[in-house]
Amino acid sequence: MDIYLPIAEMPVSVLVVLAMGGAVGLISGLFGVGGGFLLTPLLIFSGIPPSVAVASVTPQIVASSTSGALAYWRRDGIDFKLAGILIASGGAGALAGAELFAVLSSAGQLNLVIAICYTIFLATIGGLTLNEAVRAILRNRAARKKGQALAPVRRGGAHRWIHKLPLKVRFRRSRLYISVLPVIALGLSISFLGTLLGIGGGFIMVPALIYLLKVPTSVVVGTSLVQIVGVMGIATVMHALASESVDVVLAFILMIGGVIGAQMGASMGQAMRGEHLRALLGLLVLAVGVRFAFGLVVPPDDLFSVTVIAP
Amino acid sequence: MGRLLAALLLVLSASVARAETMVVALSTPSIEVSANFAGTHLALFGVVERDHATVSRAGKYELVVVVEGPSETLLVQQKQRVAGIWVNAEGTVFADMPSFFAVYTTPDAGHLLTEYADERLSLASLTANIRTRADFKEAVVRVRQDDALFVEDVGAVTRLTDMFFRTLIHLPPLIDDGDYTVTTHLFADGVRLDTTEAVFTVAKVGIEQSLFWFATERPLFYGLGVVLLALVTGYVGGIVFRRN
Repeated sequence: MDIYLPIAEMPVSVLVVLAMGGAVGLISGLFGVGGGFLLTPLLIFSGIPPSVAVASVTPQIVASSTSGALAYWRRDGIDFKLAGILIASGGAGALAGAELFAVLSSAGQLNLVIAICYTIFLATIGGLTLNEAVRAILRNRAARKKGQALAPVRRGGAHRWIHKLPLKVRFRRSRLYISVLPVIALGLSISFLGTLLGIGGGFIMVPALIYLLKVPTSVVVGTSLVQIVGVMGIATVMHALASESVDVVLAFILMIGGVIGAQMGASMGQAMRGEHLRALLGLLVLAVGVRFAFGLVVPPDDLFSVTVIAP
Repeated sequence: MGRLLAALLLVLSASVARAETMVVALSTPSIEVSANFAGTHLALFGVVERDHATVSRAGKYELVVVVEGPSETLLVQQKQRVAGIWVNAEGTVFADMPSFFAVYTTPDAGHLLTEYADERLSLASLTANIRTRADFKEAVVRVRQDDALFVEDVGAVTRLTDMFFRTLIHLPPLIDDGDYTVTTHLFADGVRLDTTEAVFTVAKVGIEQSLFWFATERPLFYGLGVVLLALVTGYVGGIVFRRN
C-alpha cells in the first residue's frame, strides 16, 4: 500500500515506513535511546531525500520522547529547572542548526555533511560504548570466577575546572550547585548537532550530564527526555520555517511505528543484562557508522549529482 | 470597384494558401495528485484538418509532441575524491530547466529533432545554450531520464489513420505541480505546417493539497501543528501502553 508524501512529493510504502519506525522504536525501547540516529540514516538509505528525512524524524523524536518523559514525570524523575535551561539554550542551537541545514541544502552539500558527521559520531559513540560494555562483561566474568561480588565501577574524578566557573545556580532536584555556563554550552551544542542531523542527542546528553555535571542518575534520563521533547519541538518549527521540509505524513507513520515498537522493546529489554545490551547497541551504532563511511570512500555509481535549488 | 476586387483577391489567396491545421485534444485537463498517487498517464489525440483547397501531399504527416512542465533551477555537481572521500566539487547552475520534458514523435520523424536543434524539440536542445562542460549537460539529462522526468521517444506517436494520431503522456510519481504545456508540431515532407498548444495542470488535491499549502504558506502554524501532533501521539501512546 503506497501513500503519497505531500512534502517529499513522492510515494512510499506505508508498511515499509511503519516497519522502519517499529524496528527503530523496538531498538529505542530495548536500549533506552531515542533512535533518531538510526531512523534518519535508515530513511536516507531507503531513498527519502536527506532534507526530508532529517526534518521529519525530528517530530517523531518528540513523540517517542513524550511518552518516556511522562513516565519519568509520574515518578518525579525530572529536574525541570535543569531541563528548562538546557531547552532555552537549545533554542539558539536549533535556530543555528536549521539555518545551516537550509544553507547546506541549497549548496548541494547537505548529504556530504550529514554523512561525515554521522560517520564520526557513530563510530566514536559506537566504539566507546562497545569498549566500555566489553570491559564490563570481562570484569564481571573475572569477578564471578573468583567468587567475589561484582566489582563496583569507579566513577571518574570530579572535573574541578567546571566547579570554578562563575554564575552558579542551585538545582534543587539534582542537589547540585554549579555554574550555568557548562549547562548552556551543553544545551547549545547538542541541540545544534541534533537539529542538523535529526537526532535527539540523548546518547550524548546522558553521559555528559552524568560525568560532566554529576547529575544523579535517578533524574538524568527523565531530564534528558524533557530536554529532547523541548529542543526537538523547537527544531521541528525551525525546520518548517527554514527549509519547509517537514513531512507530517511521513512523521506520523514513523510515530505510530515508533510508539508500538518502543513498548515491545521495553519489555524485551527487561529480560537482558545491561552490559550485554550496551555491547549490542555499540555494535549496532558502529555498523551504521561503517555503512556511512563506506558510502563516503567507495566510488559512487554516478559521479554527478543533481540538486533542485529553486522551483 | 477596385477595392472590392482587392478584397476578393485577398479572400481567394487566403483560401488557396491555406495549409493543414492540427487539432489536438487531451484526455483530461487536470491531473490530481492524491494520497495514493503513483504516477499516471494521459492521452493526446490529434487530427489533421484539411479542406478542398489544401494541396495533396506526397509524403505522410509526421508529428512531434513536446510536453513541458514547470521550470526549476538545478545545481549539477561532479564528485571528486578529496582526502579519500567523495565530495561534490565543481558545479554548474542550470536555470530555467523544465521539471518534466517529454518528446514523442511518429516513427519516421526522428531526424526532425536534430534538424530543429535550435528549438525545444529534443533533450539535447534543453542544454544547448548553457555554457558548461558537455559531461555536465549529459549528466542532467541522464539523471532526469532515470527518474522518467525526461523522455525522448521516437515512434511513441501512433498513426491511427493517415490523419488521426494518438500518443500517451506518461507522468512519473515524482512530477511537480503546475501547468504543463503540450506543443504539437505537424510536419509534412520535412516542412512544418502547423503548431498547436494544449495545456493541462497537475495539482495536489484534498488533504495532500491542504498540507502542502500549510507547509509552504503558513510554515509557523504547520510546524507548531506537527509538534502538537507529536505531543498528542506520544501522550496517547504512553497512556495506551502504560505498564504499572
